[in-house]
Amino acid sequence: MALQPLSYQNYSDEELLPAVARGVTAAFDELYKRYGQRLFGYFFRMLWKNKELAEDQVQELFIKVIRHAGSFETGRSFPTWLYSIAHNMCKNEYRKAEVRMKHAQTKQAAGTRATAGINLDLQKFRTAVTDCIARLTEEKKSLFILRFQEQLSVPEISQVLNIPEGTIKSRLFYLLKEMKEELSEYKTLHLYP
Amino acid sequence: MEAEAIITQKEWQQLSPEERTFLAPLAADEQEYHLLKKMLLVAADDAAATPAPDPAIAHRLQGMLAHRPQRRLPRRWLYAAAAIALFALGAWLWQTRPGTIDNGDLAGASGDQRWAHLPAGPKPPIRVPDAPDNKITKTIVRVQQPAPAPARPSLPDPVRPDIPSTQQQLLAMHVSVRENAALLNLVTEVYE
Repeated sequence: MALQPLSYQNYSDEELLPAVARGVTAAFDELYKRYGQRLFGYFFRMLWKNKELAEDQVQELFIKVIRHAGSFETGRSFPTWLYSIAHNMCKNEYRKAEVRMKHAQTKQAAGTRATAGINLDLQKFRTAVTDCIARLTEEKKSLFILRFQEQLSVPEISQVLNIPEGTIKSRLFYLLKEMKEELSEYKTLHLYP
Repeated sequence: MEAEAIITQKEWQQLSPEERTFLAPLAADEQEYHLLKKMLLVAADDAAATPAPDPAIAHRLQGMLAHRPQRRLPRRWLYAAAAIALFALGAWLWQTRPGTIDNGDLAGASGDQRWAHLPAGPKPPIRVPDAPDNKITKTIVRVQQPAPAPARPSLPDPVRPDIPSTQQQLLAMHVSVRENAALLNLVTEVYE
């Protein structure tokens, strides 16, 4: 009878890390399966929907995970740790690529998803929301993506961005208000029944 | 509950008066409330529509994990080993420093003998010199250095007087090549 390969599906992230530090590929695969797509999505949306750049960043981030898996503080939440590294990497990208950002914004506008058969108003509104998010500053965009696209809780975002929870709540409140004002022309559209 | 949680979870009609008051600066009426709701729904949809990363990334990372240099010993063990080695070296240097008693010489010696540098026996009584004004006087005793023994002329071997003595041989060995012209010529010839 063939031996079944050891499954790491039931292990927590924090339990997987020591195995990754020992070089266990299956443990790393499990971590990548859990967070690879999510973090790629975060990078993709943060970095102007530039797929190549997002892929490079994901690779770089997981290299950091491999290198520092042994020194991970056990009391800390792994996803929060991952997102804080990702957030800092995005900040660096924003800092060093002002020109690239402008280029990517135009590219992103052209690369809107194919919408054959979808309500035209919905398509317009979707584009308007995407543009509105793209126009946000790096800090606001990160906050919006972490809360409404990555679905992180306010305490988690507070840890990722290293900002008090109260500040996060008030920033989210004003961010929604700002976006609502930008999209006010779509107020009368009935997109969802 | 946070504003965004209320917006995503509840319809306008379901809001309590307190919640409507709380959300008033954000959504004054039903239309504004629905606009916010639509915006958050579209944003969530957009997140779900993200493309997948290149599968080659996972393979590259697996390769890195498999071929990364392994640190065989934790660093703290190396520090401990280095500290032990330094201590051993220090202890050895302390024991072999000039002026200390060699352990070999003390084989069989009692503990008292090991540390006492004075000859054993009854201690001499302490004599206080007669000093009328109680002044502390310092007497320097010059220790007579033993004179170096005169070099004894070595005697020739009574059995083979033609063979030079050991001392003569040693003196001959210490002669510089430059002082002996014949030897200098020979060495020059050999090297040429």
